[in-house]
Amino acid sequence: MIRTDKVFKLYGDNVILQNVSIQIEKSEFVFLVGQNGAGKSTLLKALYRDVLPTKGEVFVNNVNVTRLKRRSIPLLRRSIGVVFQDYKLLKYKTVAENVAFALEVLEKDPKFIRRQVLQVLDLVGLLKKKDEKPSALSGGEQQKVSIARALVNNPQILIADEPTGNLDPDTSWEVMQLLDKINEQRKTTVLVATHDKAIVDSMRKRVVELSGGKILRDEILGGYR
Amino acid sequence: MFKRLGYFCREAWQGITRGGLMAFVATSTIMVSLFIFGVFLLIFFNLYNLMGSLNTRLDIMAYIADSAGHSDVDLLRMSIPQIAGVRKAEFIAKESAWRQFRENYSGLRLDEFLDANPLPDAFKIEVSDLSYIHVVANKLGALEGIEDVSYGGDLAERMAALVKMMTLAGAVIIFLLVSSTLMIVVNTIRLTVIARENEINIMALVGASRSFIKYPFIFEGMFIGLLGALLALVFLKIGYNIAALNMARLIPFMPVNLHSREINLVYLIILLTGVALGWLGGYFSVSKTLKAE
Repeated sequence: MIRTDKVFKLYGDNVILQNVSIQIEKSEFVFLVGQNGAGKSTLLKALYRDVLPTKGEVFVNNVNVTRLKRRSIPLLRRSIGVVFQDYKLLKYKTVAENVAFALEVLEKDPKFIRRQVLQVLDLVGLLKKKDEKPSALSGGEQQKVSIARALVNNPQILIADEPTGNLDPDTSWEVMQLLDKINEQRKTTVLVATHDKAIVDSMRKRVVELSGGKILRDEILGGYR
Repeated sequence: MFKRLGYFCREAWQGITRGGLMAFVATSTIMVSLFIFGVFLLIFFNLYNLMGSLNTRLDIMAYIADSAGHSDVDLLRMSIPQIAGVRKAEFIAKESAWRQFRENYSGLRLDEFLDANPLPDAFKIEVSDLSYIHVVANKLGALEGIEDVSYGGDLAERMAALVKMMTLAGAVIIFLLVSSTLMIVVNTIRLTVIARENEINIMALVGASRSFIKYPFIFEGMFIGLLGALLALVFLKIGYNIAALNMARLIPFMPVNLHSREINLVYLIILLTGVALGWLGGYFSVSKTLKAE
């Protein structure tokens, strides 16, 4: 499903990624851990072509992402849902509109959009708050809206970059449980970059650790350390 | 297609209302520039119009010198019709010319400013063909007792030189005006684009095509351009009507056009320029931001 082959990324003289090769199968749940500046976000960005590696290749669904033409990037991104630490919600749109936005820009049928939005809001437990603006929601709820938006197009891959970075431990645990549920129920491949030791240790998933842009370890049922 | 169009229009309108002050600045800039552009176009159009009307007149006025006596006038009365190309020659005594002038332009109240008749005796000559006008005018000028000769073609030629000069100056001014307006519109819309960078990022992340991201901003520019152009048109129409009425009162012999097809064409040019400026402004600003992504 996802494969990186000897990926390097340099910004001037700074080496961000060095010889990163990993393979993630369909329906896997993988934690990407490491200190700030370890290269986690850059690696995730390389998967949805927000960053182009300096050297090496990235494959998503057998498509060489590094060789994609600019006009084909949107097609790649339609198969990947992305969740961020700062939610990236549009404050002037309601919860339902924020989620629907992801399908509107893909020019989907309004009836289909409505059905999908309600379904995915039900999945994240925010159906009752569909008409609220993001400012009326807690941090955890806002992150769930962002997860709903990432999921509404039924992507095969869900990438979450520090999704619990701004949340308290209880809410973080709730959000991680939700990601786990999505992985279990929908068989979506989930890749989460995190600093949350407690969560990584208790969920016992595959853990890939990056340090100084290199893969330090790759463990099935690993812990944070 | 219509679904897309509806979405683009809705998003563009939302962009304008959310843009607030920035949209207002862009609209007023376009309005002011197009107003000035329109004033230029209307002046040019009227000058061309005046030139055209002068060109079609086949009359030559030959003014008799004050020093000329009755015998000189009688001699002229006989010799002028002999000139090749003259169809008709009519003597106009200065008294009747002055009476006619005062009647024609009664609004000017000339008696309040002038004590004596300023007009000379003259011959009004009609040529049989426009091509004779230069030759006839030259021959008339060479006649004893004729002080000055004037004809429409001469005035039209001088007017043409003036219009040519104004066209050149106008083209430079309009170029500067249009390019600076475009730059202001690009930067103003760019500010709204920057303010909505988050939205653009999200659109790009969920897989929206570049054209889908671009069009709401292009439409926003077009709406701003259209709005600016419509406001400019309102002021231009009001201003032009007032100016035309005053011109008709103060300079009655100057033909000012009020409702012709050409005037409507000027208004249409203003409208289309506004929309085009907005389109280009939106296109350049969003392209710049997307390129930086």
